[in-house]
Amino acid sequence: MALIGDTGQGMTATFGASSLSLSVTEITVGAITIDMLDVSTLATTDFQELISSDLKKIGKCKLKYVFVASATAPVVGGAAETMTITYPLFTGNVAAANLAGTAQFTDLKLPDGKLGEVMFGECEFQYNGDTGPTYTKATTS
Amino acid sequence: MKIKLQPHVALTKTPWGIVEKSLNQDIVLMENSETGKMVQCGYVGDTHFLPLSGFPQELCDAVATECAKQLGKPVSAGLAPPGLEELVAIVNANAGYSEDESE
Repeated sequence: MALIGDTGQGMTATFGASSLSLSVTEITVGAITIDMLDVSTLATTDFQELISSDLKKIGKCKLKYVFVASATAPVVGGAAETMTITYPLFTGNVAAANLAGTAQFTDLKLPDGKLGEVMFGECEFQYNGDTGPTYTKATTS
Repeated sequence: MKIKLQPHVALTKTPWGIVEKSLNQDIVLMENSETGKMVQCGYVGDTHFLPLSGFPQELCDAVATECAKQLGKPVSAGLAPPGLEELVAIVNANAGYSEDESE
């Protein structure tokens, strides 16, 4: 059986309006979740009975990047724009899998300074639900 | 250089069916010069071509020019996020030593 799986090399974060370019080393994607509501009654036994709530939510996405002093930094509280996390292209893919939607930066951690250590910045953005976020699988030829 | 633009949309479920909502950007497909197959190289947003990680910076201007032709509006070449080798060079430069010294 052919081996499957891939690493994160080539994963990309892009910003539609600000066209920010970061030297990203790590992308942490927020989990998509939905609350479960307890509908157990006095007749329920053993386990709670749960139904799903109406709306899903998604956690913040976090980017760790090599700090380049001359590069534009993310603007916390700036205008919402399309932010896209694109997964690496697999062999045979035409368009890569991606997670995209309107979002804005909520957190920016500028690097600390220490002798003998590379300076990294960290920022987080939150999809705001206006458009998307939507996960689209890769298309193949 | 052969470029094809595909509208990037978010599919949204509604009680009346699935609706396509625009993400205000296009997926940019480029012909691989060796295989002849179209493969994604980035997105084109409001004003910039946004290359995927590792896409050669040398090709960004040409892709942006072609996107501008097809969209009928100015498109600038975005900065390509560095590939692994370039990233190692940046990390080494920030750490204060060259590749030769690290070997």
